Amino acid sequence: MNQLSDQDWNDLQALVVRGYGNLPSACYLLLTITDVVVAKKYLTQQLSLLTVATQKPEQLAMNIALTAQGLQALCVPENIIKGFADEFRAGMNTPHRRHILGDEGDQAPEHWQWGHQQSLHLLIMLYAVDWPHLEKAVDEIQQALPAAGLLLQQRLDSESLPQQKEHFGFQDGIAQPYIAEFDSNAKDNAKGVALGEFVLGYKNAYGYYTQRPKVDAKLDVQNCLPVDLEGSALKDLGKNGTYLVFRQLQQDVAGFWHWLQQAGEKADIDPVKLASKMVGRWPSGAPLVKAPDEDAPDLKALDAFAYHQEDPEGYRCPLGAHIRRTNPRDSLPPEPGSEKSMAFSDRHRLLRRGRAYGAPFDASMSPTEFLKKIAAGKVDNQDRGLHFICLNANITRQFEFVQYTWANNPNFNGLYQDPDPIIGSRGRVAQRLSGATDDFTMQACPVRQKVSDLPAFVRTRGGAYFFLPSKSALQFLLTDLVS
Amino acid sequence: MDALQPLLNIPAFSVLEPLVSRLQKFNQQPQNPLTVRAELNLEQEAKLRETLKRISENVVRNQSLPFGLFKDSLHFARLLILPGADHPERYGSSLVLMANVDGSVHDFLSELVMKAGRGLDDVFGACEGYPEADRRNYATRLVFLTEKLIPAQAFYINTIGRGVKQIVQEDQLRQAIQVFLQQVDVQMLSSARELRKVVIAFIKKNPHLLWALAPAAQPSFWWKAKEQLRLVVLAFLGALVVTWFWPLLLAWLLVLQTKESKDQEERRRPPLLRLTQLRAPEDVYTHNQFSAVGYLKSGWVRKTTVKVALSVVHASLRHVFNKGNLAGVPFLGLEGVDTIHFARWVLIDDDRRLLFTSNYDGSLESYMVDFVDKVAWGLNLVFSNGQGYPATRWLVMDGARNEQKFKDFLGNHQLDTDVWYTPYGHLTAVNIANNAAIRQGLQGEMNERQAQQWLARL
Repeated sequence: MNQLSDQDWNDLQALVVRGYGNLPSACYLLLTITDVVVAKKYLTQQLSLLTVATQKPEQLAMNIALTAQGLQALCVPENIIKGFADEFRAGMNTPHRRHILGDEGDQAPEHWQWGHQQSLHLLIMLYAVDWPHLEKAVDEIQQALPAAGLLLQQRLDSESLPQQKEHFGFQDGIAQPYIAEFDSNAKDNAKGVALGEFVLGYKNAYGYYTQRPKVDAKLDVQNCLPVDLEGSALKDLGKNGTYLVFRQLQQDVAGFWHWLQQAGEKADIDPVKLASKMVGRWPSGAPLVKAPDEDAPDLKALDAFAYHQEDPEGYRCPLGAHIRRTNPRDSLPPEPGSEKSMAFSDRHRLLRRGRAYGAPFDASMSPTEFLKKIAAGKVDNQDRGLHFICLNANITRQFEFVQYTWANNPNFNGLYQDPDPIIGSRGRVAQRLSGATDDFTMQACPVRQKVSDLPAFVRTRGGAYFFLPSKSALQFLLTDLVS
Repeated sequence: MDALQPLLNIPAFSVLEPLVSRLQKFNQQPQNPLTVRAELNLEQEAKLRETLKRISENVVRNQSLPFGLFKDSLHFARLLILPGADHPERYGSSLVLMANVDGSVHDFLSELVMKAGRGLDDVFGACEGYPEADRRNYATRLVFLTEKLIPAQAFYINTIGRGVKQIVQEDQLRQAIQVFLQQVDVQMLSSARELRKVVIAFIKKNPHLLWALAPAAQPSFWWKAKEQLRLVVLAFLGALVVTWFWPLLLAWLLVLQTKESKDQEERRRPPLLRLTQLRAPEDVYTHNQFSAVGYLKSGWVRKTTVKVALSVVHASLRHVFNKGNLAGVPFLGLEGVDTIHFARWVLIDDDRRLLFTSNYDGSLESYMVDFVDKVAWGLNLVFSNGQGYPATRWLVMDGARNEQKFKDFLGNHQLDTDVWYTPYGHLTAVNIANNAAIRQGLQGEMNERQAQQWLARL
């Protein structure tokens, strides 16, 4: 276990250690730097408002992240930018990333609401206890912007849904990696995922320090950066920072439940049960491994379970279910059911900080009510979905691996043509060539049940890779580096 | 056996040809690696690149080398332009054709020349020594390609004996059963055994699926016996070396250890633009290609080490890891990798460089993660003899375990694969093995539990 000093706690942006559950209203401001000198001055003034890990705000929190273009716009020298991760520097929109993330066809970056422009530089995240507090904070920033050398590109509002649900009506955000350093009650021998998987400057799950930017000590005139723990004479610009992946995922709630109603009738299975099989949890959040036949609200936030002992065949929670792919726990090789298998999964974890956006399809958040509303023809055109945000130290090994190797990959875990039924991309080239449809298989005895031709229920509407710096790194980046 | 080839050029020995050819076939494996390397003419390189680009736009059907023509004998194939060893001081770039074929390399070459002679001209016409336009015919083309064949020091076949026809057919079988199952009212059946019988009856009624009821073709009894004998002899020789010469081996390791402490690791990270370029064609199919080249560390100690290591690797791939699980040794706690279809190691340029290519499932990231997590020791054994490799201890420790340095090393050495062909781009190695087990399960009687396990494959 790593030791975090008071200095480190005051350096980490608080979003790393908490999701601000007590601040349900949120707003993301996507900004362009138009005048670097003025912008640096303004942002430096804002540094005192930046929420760090030692603070637990009850009214308002603010965090700041930057894109690689943002670093360029701040005139950070190219040799420093080169120290950042390749995927962050290349951005989400490369030919290869379009393939693996499924951002193709009508979901290609050209059609996004935001994220495809080169001019996205800065992300300011605001979290407040209610809308009036949030509006006040946003207003203050918006009024300051013209004189601050910043241009607002997009404002994205988020509001937590009742009962911690996501728009399809399922409880969300239950499974998070356990990081012993963030748990004040942790014992010395507490086992969890290595801190270095989520924060740069600490040892990762392989026992190494993840690649990160370091700078010549002479450049750090204010002496604000920590030293490099790997022993070089350089200062560590990455330490206590991490990468933030932001994707705006639009959810077609009416389409989802309408399709389930039809597919359920065809396959002779209750639509809510079919949807739960696809998710791997019931709407309450109860995992299918523990509650295979019907929802069990008393198990709603249960995260202490594994797959191999209880359900190796996928009879309870299908092998291709959403939660069994995005967090396979002990179900994959090497040696399913063992510590080794868990360790393998733990090298591909994400710290999730996403929030829903848009009004719920029905205030009840209940799938049964959703189905009734659809049957009555009460369908709206409201834009709703998830502002998916996750933190990780290695975007390729963590976020992209989960999204491609586990979620989008139709051949995951021995399957043939089953992408993730909820978030997986549809109609991949290899499948098209072999004439295969996008299916979902429910393992059963004597033989599996299958539903075919899954439409896309989730669409990417925007996205970018950001660097969430430590407070000291942000302070450093805002100083005049070209002298 | 290839050593006998020059003899055949002497007229008096030509009567032996049929015998030698039978011996060659006997020594070969059911699947074999074809590697042709021909020196490029600098002036022709630009034109060749255009031709390769055109081929890669439609690998299956194109004017020059329509790889789809070889659907009964060809697994994976690739064409790449390999920069010369001292490029750009001395040009020396070459065109490399690699294929994983069923049957002998020579049989495939003659099929290739027969079916795509003119197409070969488009491609190999850019090479030094290719027959002049007016002298091009079946024989001259074949002689050229045969002369340019180079051996692979080690070669991995996911499952020895499983041909491309079988792979494609067995996938059609699975798909047909899947479609049929959608129409069966499972509720009406009392057991898994009964359902299995219904499936078998369905196949019996379909003339185009009848083949599935016979077991898949296997290498002959004599071939298997010979392979067993080969293994026994090699194991015996190995044991002999270890018992008699262990002090020598130990001394060798100590020498290596001192060398390891002085070797330089590569510090440079691959340029971002280069990585973007390399990644662009990847992850279109379920599996991908990987090609890389690097210099070996200088000195005879390293060269001998790499040759011995490759022989040991080859023997274990051929005789032990030949059923879909690479490097997995459960009782030693070593985890295997089940995502690689074919791989090969080829020493080139008077053993100055090592060329490595493979065909693997999933993304390069997941492939590298498998290396780092599971078989780092096996990679270290060979690749730590390459210049710039992440530092190892005792030949097999550390090295690839250093995730970032290892990934950077691969990025620095990866080559563009200009053309790549796969005949079953929607199937992983695990899928292929499962399909084979589905077919196998049509044979014989099963109890209820066995029938359930068989049905779980669908």
